[in-house]
Amino acid sequence: MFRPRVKTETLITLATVAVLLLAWEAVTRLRLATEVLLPSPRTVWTCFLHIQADGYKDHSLLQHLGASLGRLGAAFGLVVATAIPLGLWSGCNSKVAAVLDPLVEFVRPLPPLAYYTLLVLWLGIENGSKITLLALAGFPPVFIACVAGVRRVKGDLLLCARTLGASRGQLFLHVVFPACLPDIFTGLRTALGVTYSTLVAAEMVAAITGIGWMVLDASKFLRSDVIFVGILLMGLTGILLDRILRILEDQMVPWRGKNR
Amino acid sequence: MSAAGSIQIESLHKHFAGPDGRIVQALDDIHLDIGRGEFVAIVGSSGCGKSTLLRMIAGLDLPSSGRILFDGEPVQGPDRLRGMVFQDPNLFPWLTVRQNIAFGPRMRGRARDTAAAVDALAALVGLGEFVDCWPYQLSGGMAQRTALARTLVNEPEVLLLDEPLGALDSFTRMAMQDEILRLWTELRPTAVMVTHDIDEAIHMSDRVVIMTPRPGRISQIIRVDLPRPRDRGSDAFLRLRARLLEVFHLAHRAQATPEYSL
Repeated sequence: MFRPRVKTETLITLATVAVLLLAWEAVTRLRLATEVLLPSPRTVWTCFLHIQADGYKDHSLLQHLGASLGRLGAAFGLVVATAIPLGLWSGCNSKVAAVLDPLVEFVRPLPPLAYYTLLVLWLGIENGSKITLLALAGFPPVFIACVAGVRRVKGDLLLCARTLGASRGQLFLHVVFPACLPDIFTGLRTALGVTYSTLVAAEMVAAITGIGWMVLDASKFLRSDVIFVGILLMGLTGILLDRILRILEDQMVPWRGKNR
Repeated sequence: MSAAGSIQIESLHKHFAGPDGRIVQALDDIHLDIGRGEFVAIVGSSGCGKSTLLRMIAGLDLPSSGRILFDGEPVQGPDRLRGMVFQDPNLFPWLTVRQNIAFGPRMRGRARDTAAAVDALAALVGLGEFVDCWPYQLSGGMAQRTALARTLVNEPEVLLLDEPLGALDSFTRMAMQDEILRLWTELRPTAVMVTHDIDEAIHMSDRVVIMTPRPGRISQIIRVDLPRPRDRGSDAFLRLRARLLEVFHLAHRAQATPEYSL
């Protein structure tokens, strides 16, 4: 499906980005919007250089980025360590699913901010509550993908493995788990997006670091240029993280999307 | 391969609940003795229970009553000594051809000392150059050869074939028939093959078991006394084919008009 037949498509992508940048530049040159509503690319660039050199509010840009990515990474690790085993277990065992499914279905549509205050009260105002918030947001997509993955495993593949001498325990490790890997990666990529978009919410309360916090803090002072820098950085690191996941996926699931 | 591998099927019945909740009699009073090293083909139209019978010999399904003995012991579950090849090759897409073939030994913790056997078997089925390919890179015939090798590496005493060539084009199909016969002659497992192709049954087997549906019964067993290797165009072959077709049609007419049923 996604064969690297990229030549033309890459050019189209690059052209799209270029057109957007030019349009941005044109709108500001023609003074169709004030600097507060839409800072010019040059202003944003200068602001970026400034933040990069001097930091923002006592912390360097790398510290802000590092704080955000650290929280994200910890939450993501938590999701991998809990949602994958619980999801696979739930997919294999309908009684376990009866316990976990409704809970996940309940948490999944909740807006994270609704329960964030509770988490702060329970877990304190430090990183614990922030990481838990992100992990709670990332858990459902991975869990649901794992359950769906197990249910999609072809029955004949399991029978086949049995006739080849695999025990019931080996069926899980050597057939069910690898068969679910493509679904697990789909879930992980969705989860990455969800946790990332929860990041700003997580850094709203009592943070003094983080890209999300930087954007929120700048909002209070209507520093549009800083908001733009923050948003662009979040978007670009988001793409970068997704790329890393995709490379990992290509390494671990080279057969993905290819039938037989 | 081993000298053992006999199968006795005694008063076998199998019924299960159909989609509408009614009891479906899938197999009714099946008796069949299969000697070690014999090649038996089971033919019949769809719904006659031939695949159910094969799955029960494999141990993937248990009898409602009666029993299946494998070397004198009742079959109670799947066993690598009764290997099965399905119509769909069912290769593991996350394993290469070599890893697929090595699956059985790996499950027994014997991956290391069977590595040479795996490569030898891959070469034997003509996949020597393709051992590092992924299943999605294989043609239908190659995928089925891999499935065959994956089963044979377990040194099964009984080789169960569930329409293994049903999805192949007729040219590949005939080549694979001879391929399976060559392997069978060399390794001498007991072979039981389900097929809906009468030519295939005559070409390959020592005996052809004809089954009729609703309920699944054995209507007749015909011995194929043609010398091997067999010539698909010989007079003897064609005579036997005509006779089998006649039996087949009779059996089905009997089944289609209940007032004349057996």
